[in-house]
Amino acid sequence: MKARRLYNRIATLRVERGISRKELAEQIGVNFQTVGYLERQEYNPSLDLAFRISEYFGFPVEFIFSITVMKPMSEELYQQNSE
Amino acid sequence: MTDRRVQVTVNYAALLLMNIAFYFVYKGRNASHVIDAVGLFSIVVVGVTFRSVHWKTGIWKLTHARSKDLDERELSLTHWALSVSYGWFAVICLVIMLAMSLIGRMNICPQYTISIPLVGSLIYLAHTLPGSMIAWKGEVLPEDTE
Repeated sequence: MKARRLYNRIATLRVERGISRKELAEQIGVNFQTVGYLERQEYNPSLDLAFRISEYFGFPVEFIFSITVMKPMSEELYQQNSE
Repeated sequence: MTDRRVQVTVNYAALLLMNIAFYFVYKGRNASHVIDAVGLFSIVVVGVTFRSVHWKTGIWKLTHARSKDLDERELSLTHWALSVSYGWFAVICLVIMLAMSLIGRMNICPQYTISIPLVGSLIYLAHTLPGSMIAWKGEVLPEDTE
């Protein structure tokens, strides 16, 4: 079975926090190269890893991961403010 | 074909060339310093391409690491590489056994048995095939740092 592509905001969140891939990798218990694969959306994490990432950033899993292309956070924030 | 795929191809082509050269050395009929030189040159090429494909990229460490030292992506990658290379290695061994049997039956070189270079090549192949699968796929990028 071919897995669906999962979209995520890991790169945006990591840059926003000002941490390197190596630092994030140490926090979530993976190799730093795996963080690169996750950010490029070339690898779908397991449920356990997805929860570890969401716990680290302090956001719900559905905010970080999606099965559809995610809007930029600034766009979502602008929409919320204008509503 | 990417640079790494070219290196993998050259690595195994040199290994094959080394075995052919040492076969003729063993056979004795066409043995010459040229064939000796080709055999030794092939070993050097195997060594150089092994260093660039397996050693410098960290693929050797990845395929020889203990499971508990790998994360889930690396585990899934090495599992895939090991299962595919197991099939390829089995086919290669069976082809060699068939070739050996034909060499004996057709009286090409009846005294020829499995030589040390051939056994050495098979050991090398068993250790490097999973890594070559990963290199061929284009995984593990050493430049993928910050």
